[in-house]
Amino acid sequence: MRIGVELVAALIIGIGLGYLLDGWFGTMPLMSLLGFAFGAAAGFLNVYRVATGQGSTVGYRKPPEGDDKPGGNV
Amino acid sequence: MATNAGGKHGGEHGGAGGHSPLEQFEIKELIPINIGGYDISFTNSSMVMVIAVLLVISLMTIGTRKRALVPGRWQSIAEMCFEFCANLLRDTVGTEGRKYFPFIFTLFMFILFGNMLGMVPYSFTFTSHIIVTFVMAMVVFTGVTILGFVKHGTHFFSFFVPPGVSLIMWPLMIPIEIISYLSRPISLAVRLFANMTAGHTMLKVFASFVPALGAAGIAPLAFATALTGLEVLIAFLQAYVFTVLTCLYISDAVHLH
Repeated sequence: MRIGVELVAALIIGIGLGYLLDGWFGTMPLMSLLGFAFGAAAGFLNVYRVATGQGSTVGYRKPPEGDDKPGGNV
Repeated sequence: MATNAGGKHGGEHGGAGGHSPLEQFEIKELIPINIGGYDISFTNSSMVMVIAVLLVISLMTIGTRKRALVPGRWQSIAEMCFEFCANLLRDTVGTEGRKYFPFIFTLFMFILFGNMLGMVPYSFTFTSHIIVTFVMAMVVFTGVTILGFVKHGTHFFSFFVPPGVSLIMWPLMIPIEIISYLSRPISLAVRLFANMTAGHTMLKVFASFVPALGAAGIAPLAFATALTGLEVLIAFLQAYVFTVLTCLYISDAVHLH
């Protein structure tokens, strides 16, 4: 459940942002496609972070050692 | 049940069995209010929210009234809720998180009571509407972003640059990180909404099998009973997850890498 939501949420944001930028600049398919690619990448990044127990932190960060930080797989 | 199929309400209720399993999520206006062209009516959703808030306030007021050294039943419940949130906040944010406790506690109790009130038959689950959960997620998201800016100023933007990434990769990594950051409120909102909606729909579907199957309805009845227990667990768990993630976001904003 968590993984699927993370993937889809990033895709929605990516495509939405791309679509918005297209509306502003009049470059119809370009920004949407780019947003799709970046959104998919961000989604996979989110999934990777959840799966490796880094929680939902932005930025590459190693989990603190010896500190049982909760929220990794909620 | 089936007699309604050809009846006059067929169009309104939908579904073959008379009542749609989604009917429970319908918003009903209780007191119509219309100001400046905006429909801000007092609905059944608002009513359950008011009930939830009143219940939380009365629980904490009754619980803290005696202030006994050896807590009674109500005081125990109130202390349990308080300590649960306090521990959660301390484990995720640390001692700096103490000043965010009122917000976290309010959020947790509101969602918990909303989810639990939804388990009462014939009541309404306001967390099963995505606009409600989305607004809560947006409040958390904007609050955390403002907090990050107030605490760190423009240094907050270093949040989007993963440490140890070479300069060539920056144009690629920064948009990905920004999208990843912006997707937080959506994933926060959708998770709570989807869990509550799916659980309640499933419960209703299984419950509608009971009268339809007659004597064999004992099997779905048993299943629905077991599911109710599971739903209570999920109602608590999703309130917990929402709160934990909020704590984690606050922790991210407070201790920037």
